[in-house]
Amino acid sequence: MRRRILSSLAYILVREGHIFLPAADYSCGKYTAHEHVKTQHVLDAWERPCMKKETTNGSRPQRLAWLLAIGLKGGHSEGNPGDGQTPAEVLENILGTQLPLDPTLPNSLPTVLSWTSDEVLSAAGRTICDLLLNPQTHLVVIRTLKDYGKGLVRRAGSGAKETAATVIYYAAIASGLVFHGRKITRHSYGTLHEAYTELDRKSWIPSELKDLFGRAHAICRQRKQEA
Amino acid sequence: MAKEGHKTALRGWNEPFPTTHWTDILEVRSGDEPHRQAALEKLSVRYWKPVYYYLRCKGHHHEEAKDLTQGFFHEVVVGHHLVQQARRAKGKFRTFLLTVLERYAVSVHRAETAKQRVPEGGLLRLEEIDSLKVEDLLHYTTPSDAFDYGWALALLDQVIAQVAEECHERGKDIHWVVFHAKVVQPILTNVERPSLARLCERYGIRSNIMASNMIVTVKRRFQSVLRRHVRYFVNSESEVDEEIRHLMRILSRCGAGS
Repeated sequence: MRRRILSSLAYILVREGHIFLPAADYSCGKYTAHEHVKTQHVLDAWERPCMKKETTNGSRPQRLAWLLAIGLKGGHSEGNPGDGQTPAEVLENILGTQLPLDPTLPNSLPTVLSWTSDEVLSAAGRTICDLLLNPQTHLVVIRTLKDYGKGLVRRAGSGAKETAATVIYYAAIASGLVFHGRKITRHSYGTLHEAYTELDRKSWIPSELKDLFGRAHAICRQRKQEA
Repeated sequence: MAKEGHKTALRGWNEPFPTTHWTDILEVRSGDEPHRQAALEKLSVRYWKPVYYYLRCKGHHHEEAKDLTQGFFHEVVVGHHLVQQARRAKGKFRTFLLTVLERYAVSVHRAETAKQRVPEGGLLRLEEIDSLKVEDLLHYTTPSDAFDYGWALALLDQVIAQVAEECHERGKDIHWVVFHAKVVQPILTNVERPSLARLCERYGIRSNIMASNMIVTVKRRFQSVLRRHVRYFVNSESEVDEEIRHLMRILSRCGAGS
């Protein structure tokens, strides 16, 4: 009986926010009062967000967009696309998705950029294809797309996904060269020239991207000769 | 605000059939006082921010915009106008409400008459209206963008409050605290995101994986609640993503000048 009373008391204290329980005990609903006494922590205001009124007032609007991004379903997927698909199909899927903006995903932009780049939010809701082909896309976004493509290549391992991700990687580099006149990789112009020559042979790459590669190819050839 | 999640025998997140915005508006006009007050509270939470932001961007100063906000709800939303016009309305409710508000704001003399018509003490409880930081917004935002901006803010306020409350009711306070520390707080207050290891140490969580699972659990609920709130105002499920993206673009645009 004494144990039950103590347990009930502890439960009430927890619900009212006066004491804190280790998550493992707490989530299972197993309350043992004497253990609570040993482990309890008083939750200060920082630790008790559910007890006070939260407000968006005064928060930076662009950052709030990250919270909205959690609600998106049709956008980025951290799933496993590509199984049984051709490189063209995988590439089409990637190009048609929005950037991974969900701040809870490990490879999302807020995580990649450590929350520092508001420019990236100008990319909110736009597809990767739009961003790669738009001269107005900020260089920070293009760099992020390059890193994103690189990450996809690493995770893909091999096959159609790797091939499609490689295209995204070089498309971001091409976008930097063509629209901003900046080389955003340590690869030499010679190496890039060879890569774009190779990509030009891929008939399955969408024509808009091939045009971009063609322009990047010309720039690399010129810079290579100048060097 | 209506609770959209309840405990069930299986302790899952129960999803009751959602009401529509028209249900709430009709409730306000019913003679039943408790229902009327509850519906007014819902309307207040959902709509006053977009209306107020719009009016400020239209050039009305704070006190004037407050009176007009009260007047808009009294004369248009609770009055007959909105329901009557809604019979002819098509498309999204947000767009419809903005159109009605634009018409209302055309006659500036209403600022004075609105104050006279609204019941003493105001029709709605406009929480935090006196502390809103809107000055920066006024210089570089159109009134319609300001309306959508206020809409997005009100939406997020409601979703955050509801998810926090549901976590609390379900005994998942620690889940919410971890999600809040890792995701919500860095966004709202611009603080650095704590590592999972730090959160585990601080809250006595056994492993990073467990903390990560907690974040995913709340994230799923956050997503579900957010989508339900958005669904409330659009015509089909397929429009939810489009509406969220629109609001993201608005926030991005409004923040670009700050």
